[in-house]
Amino acid sequence: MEALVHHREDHGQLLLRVAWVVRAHEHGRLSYRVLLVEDDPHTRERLARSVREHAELALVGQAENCAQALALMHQHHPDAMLVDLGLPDGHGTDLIRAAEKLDVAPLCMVITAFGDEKHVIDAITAGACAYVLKDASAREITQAILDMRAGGSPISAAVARYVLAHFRNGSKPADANHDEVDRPDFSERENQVLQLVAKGYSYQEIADGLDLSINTVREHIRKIYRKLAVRSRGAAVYEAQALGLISSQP
Amino acid sequence: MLAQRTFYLLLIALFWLASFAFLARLHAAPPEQAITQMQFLPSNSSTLPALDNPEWQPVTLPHVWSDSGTLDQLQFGWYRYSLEWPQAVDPHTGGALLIWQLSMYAQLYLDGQWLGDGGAMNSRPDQSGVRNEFRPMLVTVPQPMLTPGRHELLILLRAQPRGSGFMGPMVRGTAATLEPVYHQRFLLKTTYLQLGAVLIAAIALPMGLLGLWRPHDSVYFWFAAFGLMFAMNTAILTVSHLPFSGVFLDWLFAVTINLALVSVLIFVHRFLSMRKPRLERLLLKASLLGAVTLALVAWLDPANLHIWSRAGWCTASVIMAVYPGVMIFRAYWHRGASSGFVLMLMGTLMLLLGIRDVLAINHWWVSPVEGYWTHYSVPITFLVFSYILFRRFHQALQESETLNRELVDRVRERERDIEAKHAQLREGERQRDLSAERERILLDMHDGMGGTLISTLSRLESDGEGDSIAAQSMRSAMADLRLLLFSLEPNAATLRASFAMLRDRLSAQCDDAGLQLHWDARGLPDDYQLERHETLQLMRIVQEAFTNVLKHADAGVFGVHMSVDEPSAILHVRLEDDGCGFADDASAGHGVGLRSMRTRAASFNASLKVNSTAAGTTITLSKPA
Repeated sequence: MEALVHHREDHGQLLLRVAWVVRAHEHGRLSYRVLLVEDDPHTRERLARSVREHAELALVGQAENCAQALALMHQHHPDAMLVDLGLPDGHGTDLIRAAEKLDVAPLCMVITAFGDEKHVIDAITAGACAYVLKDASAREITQAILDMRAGGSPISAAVARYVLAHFRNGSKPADANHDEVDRPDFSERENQVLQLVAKGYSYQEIADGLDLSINTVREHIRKIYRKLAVRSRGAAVYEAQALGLISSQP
Repeated sequence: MLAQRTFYLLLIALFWLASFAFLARLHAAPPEQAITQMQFLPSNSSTLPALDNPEWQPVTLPHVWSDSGTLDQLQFGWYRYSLEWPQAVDPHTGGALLIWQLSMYAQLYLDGQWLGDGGAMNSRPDQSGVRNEFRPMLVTVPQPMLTPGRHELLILLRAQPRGSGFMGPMVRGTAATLEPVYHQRFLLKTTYLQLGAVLIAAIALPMGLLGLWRPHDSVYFWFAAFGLMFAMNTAILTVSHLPFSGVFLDWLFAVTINLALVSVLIFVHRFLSMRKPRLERLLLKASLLGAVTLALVAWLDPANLHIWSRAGWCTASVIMAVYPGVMIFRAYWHRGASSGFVLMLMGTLMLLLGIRDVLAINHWWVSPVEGYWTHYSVPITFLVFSYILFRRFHQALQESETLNRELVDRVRERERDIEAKHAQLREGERQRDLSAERERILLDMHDGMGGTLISTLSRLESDGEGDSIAAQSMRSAMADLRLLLFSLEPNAATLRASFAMLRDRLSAQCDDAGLQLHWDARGLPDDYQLERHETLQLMRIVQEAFTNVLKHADAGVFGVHMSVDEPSAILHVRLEDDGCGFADDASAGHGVGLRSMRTRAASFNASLKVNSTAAGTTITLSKPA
């Protein structure tokens, strides 16, 4: 329960990375261990091949449904998980939430057919920190995993627009006509970055425009991801408390 | 500030003094040769008295009955004067007598023969006669009576009310010399006041109607009420033939004075924006009660009516008028407004004159023979205030017009707001519907066609057929599906934002193919918009061109340049590569691709220019605003 309430912050991220490096050394291997969850066998095979063929990545398991995935997850403690959302016995976001509860949680990446904002946002609020298109090339897929490991999170203009439109700004009063939820407390910079992404500017253009390095832009986006996830976790805890499922006393 | 107000107050006081002096000067004394000694006989009947009555006593003119304690209930009095016409009386001009002032009804007899009752000589010799309040009386002696020798002139005076009679000095002369003097005097004592009353009534009537029309702004109504009451009062005072009994006129005189002063008080309240409805109601009720009481007195004890009406009711009313006088003074002192000054100047003068008149008619301190002075100041005051009220009304009209215009503007603005809000709501609803529909399609695609396409594509790739025609077709189908879904995105309002997704995909594919992507949208304003279907067609054209370059051009760079010309607002999209180029109809693939691009461009009114050489291909799309 405490793991659920636990808010992972940036320094937590750093600790995670250190933990991974230490563990990798202990196991005498430096490859990044990936668990793949996808119900369509052909697509799964294609993705598996892409991961397997990359030198820095190791595929520790493939699951075609939630049950398998949970078993493999607890068995292998992967560094990263590639998760399809529509699974035969459940939704990928549930899997991501379950993964978040692990002591050393894997980074989760969602596999989506179109990269549409609704699916991506669902995944982000569940705790995913990246997404990749199912028909992406092998290079794209492995690059996305490595980017995620490096602390990067992709964000499309559509996703940014969705966040700006559907998450209400904290200062704005609630509007009964809109199913908006509170937007997390984004910093001014994060808001700027979000606005520019929504307008269709590339990371490089944003970095140039705001006089930042491209890595700083990436960090801002990862923070946006985290804040969205924290917000949703906060809401989940609140709801759980309200339903009497967990005690409000620590 | 204080010094300034004091200075103005000093000016006002000077004005009062000047007004009093002017009025005193107007009521000038009779000519020096006037007869001021006569014999007087108090009487209780209008029958000619005997000349040898021992009660005849000498009196000095003007002879005011109320000067003497014994005459204050007297109704009739006889004056007697012995005169001799000169030997040579001009038969054409005749002899004439001018009585300077008298009150109230007079009959003149010469040697026992009826001579007249003033003014019109053809009146019947009855008791009523002509009402002469303070006015002069000119009597021309007819030719046959102008015989040389001694004559006895007898004048019968009837007082109404009792005891209020007085007789002024008399001037003897010819009609030719006395007539101009008489007319001058008559003009001052009667005509001027009558004209003033007519003027006041003429202004007050329409103003009263105006007041009825604007009941919320009752200042006009009360001012008009004052004017009408005062005009009526002046008429009673100055018209010599009124078809009413003297008692009734006495009653009406007191009632109109009282109502005029109550109206003034309420007018002052309204004018100074003071709200005292209880006091006003109380005063109006008191007025009504006073009128009824006086009517009862007139019916039961007409002989004593004047004590109740003139000494009582008129005096009480004037004392009450001290209150608005104080209000005016306070308003002037505290506010110092220009209209406050005028109110002070004219209004308090009226009050002072009223006090003087009350003293005069009751013969308390001032002699009543010069009549009422208030009535001289009222027409001018009324005119001045009518002007001020007219300006005020005009201003109010203008203000209300301005307010109306503002209101109309605000209503229109509000209508526009509401209209805009409605449009926004409708648009919001449309967007929500669209969004829900798109979400449904997306879910369908995800689990259905999209999944199948990707699954099949994966299978083809696993089977080593990733470059087959089928796999390529599937990729292009997938790409097109994605474009279609993104063109429906509810928030993708601007072209730049819509193109962001395409840019991501092209960028990834370029990386895969080792192709450099030059994306240049610097000339594209952030807010440039196209219709959804136009955006979709444009994205498809770019996608098609990109696919062609990937397949056939063997290029190193693919450039997309977007810009909007100022001020023509023409959108230019330039797609260029440094590949091997093609003749317009060289290969079947190119031909089909270009044709479909042209068709798509034409579908949203854009033109397409293709320039292909061995050093590369440039496709330029232009879309007018």
